[in-house]
Amino acid sequence: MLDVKILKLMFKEEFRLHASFFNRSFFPFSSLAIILFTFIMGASLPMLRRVVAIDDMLVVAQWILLFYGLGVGGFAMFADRILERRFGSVSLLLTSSYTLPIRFIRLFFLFYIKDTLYYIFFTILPMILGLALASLFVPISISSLLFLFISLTLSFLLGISFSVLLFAALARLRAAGLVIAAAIGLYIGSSGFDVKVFAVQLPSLVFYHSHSFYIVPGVLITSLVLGVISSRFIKEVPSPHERRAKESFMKIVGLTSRLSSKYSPMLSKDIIDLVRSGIIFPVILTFLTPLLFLYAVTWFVESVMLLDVSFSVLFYAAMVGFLGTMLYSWLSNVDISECYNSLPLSMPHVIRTKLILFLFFTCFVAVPYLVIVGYLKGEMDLLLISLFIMLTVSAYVGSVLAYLTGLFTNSYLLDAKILLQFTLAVVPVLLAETLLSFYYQFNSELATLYIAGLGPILVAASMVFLNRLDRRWKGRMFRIA
Amino acid sequence: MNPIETQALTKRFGELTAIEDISLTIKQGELFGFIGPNGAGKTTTLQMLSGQMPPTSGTAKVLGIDVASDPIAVKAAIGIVPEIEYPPSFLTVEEYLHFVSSVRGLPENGNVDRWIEFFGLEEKRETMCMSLSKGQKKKVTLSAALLHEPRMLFMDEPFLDLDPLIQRKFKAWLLDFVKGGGTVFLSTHILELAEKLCTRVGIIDKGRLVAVGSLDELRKTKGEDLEQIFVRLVSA
Repeated sequence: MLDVKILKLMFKEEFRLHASFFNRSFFPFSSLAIILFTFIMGASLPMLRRVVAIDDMLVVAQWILLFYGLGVGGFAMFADRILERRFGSVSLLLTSSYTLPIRFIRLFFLFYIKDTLYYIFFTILPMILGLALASLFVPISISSLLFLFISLTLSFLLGISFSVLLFAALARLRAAGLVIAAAIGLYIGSSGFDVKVFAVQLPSLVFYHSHSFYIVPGVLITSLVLGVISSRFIKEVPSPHERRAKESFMKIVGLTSRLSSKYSPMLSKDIIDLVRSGIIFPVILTFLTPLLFLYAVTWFVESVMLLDVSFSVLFYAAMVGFLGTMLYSWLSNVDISECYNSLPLSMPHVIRTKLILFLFFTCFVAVPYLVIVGYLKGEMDLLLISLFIMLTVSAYVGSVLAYLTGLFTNSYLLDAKILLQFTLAVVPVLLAETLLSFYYQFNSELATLYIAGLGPILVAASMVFLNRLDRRWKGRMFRIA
Repeated sequence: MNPIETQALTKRFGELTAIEDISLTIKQGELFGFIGPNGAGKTTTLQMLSGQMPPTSGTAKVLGIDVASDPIAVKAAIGIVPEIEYPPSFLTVEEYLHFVSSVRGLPENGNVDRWIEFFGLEEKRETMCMSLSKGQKKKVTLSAALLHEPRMLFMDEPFLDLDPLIQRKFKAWLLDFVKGGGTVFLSTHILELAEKLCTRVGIIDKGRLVAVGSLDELRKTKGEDLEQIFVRLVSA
């Protein structure tokens, strides 16, 4: 009974935490957006079927949920540090074992169950609801929706349980854990592992196609066992120990002041904060995961579905600029900014610092990504143009986002008016760059000319947005959104 | 020029009028106590005067600078001690103070050592702020507000969470500070403290300034202490 009570309270806690990160009144918007999206997808199924086979769509959907589970598990393992950096001091039910007679392992296991149920309820269920609504207009059977719900849940469970195990093991084993993970990766890579075969052999997919119900308890038990193993890896909450570090701020100021003496103090503070809190990993992963996923999807479309769509490195460069949105959102939102109120710092100054960091991290992740994609696709000759696209689109998207949402990206992007403004400012640019990336195959000279022409326009537009930052954000108080 | 001059200062949040028509003058060398019940508007007033929050109407000048038109210049000139402030969790005490020094454009390591020593933070120099106790965090916040040796201080419950030894030391420092020409705007609930330290007090209730003056000026009967004055004025 106690476990059920704790689970209920943890569920409430999670909901309120999410609401505090986003805008409370627009918080349910995310679930509604999922319902709307899957409704549109479901309603357009008869048209989509002509282009893509249902089975291929299913494979993509299952892998999306698996990756989603991996991401959720990864974030859960960083939750304490994210909250510490955002709010300064947060007490979660998970840490009740500090003062109450309850084992941390038990709390951790309940936390894991709560996370799983929470995301099933707020993500997978809305997906199915959207499709169920669409079934009123197009032929989708209710039984197939039931099987889809179960199979998507299984994919998510596999993702979250493996991710939690991986991060828990890495936290305990540290360097040894990384070596083991790398060794396993190398072994799989060198053992003739066939990705194409593996992609369609997910237990959840097998369940969907075969309706073999024995798979369900199999996955559930696996997920629970992995949860138990993970909780064993997690140390009992230690007594709060003092964390110390040698002075690094002035050294980093020495480096960053070469870049900009004006923004150097804020940049240095943020760099130390990101590295020491470990939040740098989820920040980079938030950006890297969709990039890898994008590559996986395009690879699937080209190599498995054998559709004649050539995604060149130019296409990826345009997408990188857009996906950086999440990176800016992280950098702006996960910072305890209230202490800036007592300093001679203006909000536009802090926003510009976040933009510099955003461009730095974008380049840090995107340049190697584009080099690798260019190499894999044999398009190294397009690398320079793709870097140009990536930089100009990133600068533009970042500036629009910073202008519209400032330091409150998560909550402001859930404001319908701001979301519309952002969409109107960004989508046409993305569309143009995407079309140009495809047009390049047909007329490379003209496409290069257009790309070269669009770049300065984007830079000029970015400057306009940056110059208007002061007008929009000057005099605003630093606060939790 | 008086360090603080306000005229009909007003702050509204939507329908709610948090502060209404506050006109106040504070002279140089004053330790001005600002007292009032919970939610009366003490912090809002302090935030407006220190350039943290723009007023809805009225004017306020701090050290001759208009708080509405140039809040950054106000913050550069004064020291602010908020009631609750969490310095960045993953910076050490020393790093945070270096950060504040850099933002304020002070020379490297200018006053950092002095205030670390004053507040007895030497052993916590390399401790990350997340590991500090409430009292230690308050000491860091106080140090950050004093690094640039401002001539005007805005403090919201600065003694909260401080140990008695540091309270005593800091009280003595404050008295020296005002004696040397500094000015303090002190918002507090601790009436005994205001009675002992402040040269004048202002009492705010439901967003309106109900009384301003020295203790003698506010007394209705001989021997009436600040608590009795407060209860009489606020209950009325």
